[in-house]
Amino acid sequence: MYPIVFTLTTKIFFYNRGGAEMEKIFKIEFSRGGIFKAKLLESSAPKTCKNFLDSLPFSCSVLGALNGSFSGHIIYPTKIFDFNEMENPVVFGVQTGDIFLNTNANKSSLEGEIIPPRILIAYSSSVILWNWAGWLPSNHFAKIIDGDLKELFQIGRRIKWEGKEDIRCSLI
Amino acid sequence: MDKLIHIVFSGGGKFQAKLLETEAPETCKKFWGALPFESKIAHGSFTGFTLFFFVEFKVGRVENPFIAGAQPGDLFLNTYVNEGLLDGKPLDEEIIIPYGRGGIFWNWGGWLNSNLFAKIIGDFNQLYHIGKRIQEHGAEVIRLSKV
Repeated sequence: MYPIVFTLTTKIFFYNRGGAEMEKIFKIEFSRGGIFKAKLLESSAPKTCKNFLDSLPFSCSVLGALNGSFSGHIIYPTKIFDFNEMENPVVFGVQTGDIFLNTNANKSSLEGEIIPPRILIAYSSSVILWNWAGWLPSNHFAKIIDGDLKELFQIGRRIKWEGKEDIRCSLI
Repeated sequence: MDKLIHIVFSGGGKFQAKLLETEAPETCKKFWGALPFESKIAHGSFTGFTLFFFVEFKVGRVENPFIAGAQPGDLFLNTYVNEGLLDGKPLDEEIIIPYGRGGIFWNWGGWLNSNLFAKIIGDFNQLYHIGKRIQEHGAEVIRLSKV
């Protein structure tokens, strides 16, 4: 199997005379096909974005369900993060291509272990973030801005039916 | 006399289950009449620690319905009472098998009151590991037959 790739590029946009504003973009590549670009929402979730940026590039598997599957049309990269503060939390109103850090706000545990922070990628808007222990307000920190969201939906279904995919990381 | 069925997973794992004919007579009748059959079983997306597979028979009514409180090894028929569409099409009825607790039956169209019609007799620890296996590695084939 081939890896998913999370890579980072930086786009610099110049506005009027006011200098520069940097918008950070990263690339997501699925091993069985599918490439997307996503924008970090630094003003909404600065600490989460910084933690995520510091982790780039990285590689991991992505599953269609992890610790059961309660939240709907979500895929679950397995990489564990070390940031667990709540910032820009969302439970409802998820849109296709939204990316979250689930900080395990409800302190749920499984098989005797506290569930660690991981990211979630919504492949449709049919999502409510929760699990057996209650709501999971998750940090909305990025959004896919480039790529076919219908393809993303098919990728979500592919992973669910065909199983996990591998990942590979590289910088653009 | 209880009606019993065999359940076999292609990736490994065999169980027996007992039909709950008193609680869900119409569901049991249609299910029993459809045996033996096989289907592709995958992990649920909305309903927690659950596996599901589509069936070719149709019951089309709610009897002995649940949306919460499912136990590992319960078998539910989801008749898609909320009439939610996927890709613009209605979904076939499906059987849901919880392998852990805590799930709630819902999807984008609302609650999915599902008919509890059978219970697995046996090793739920093995069922849990089958659930985790399918979660990670994707769909398998499930075969069901009369004992």
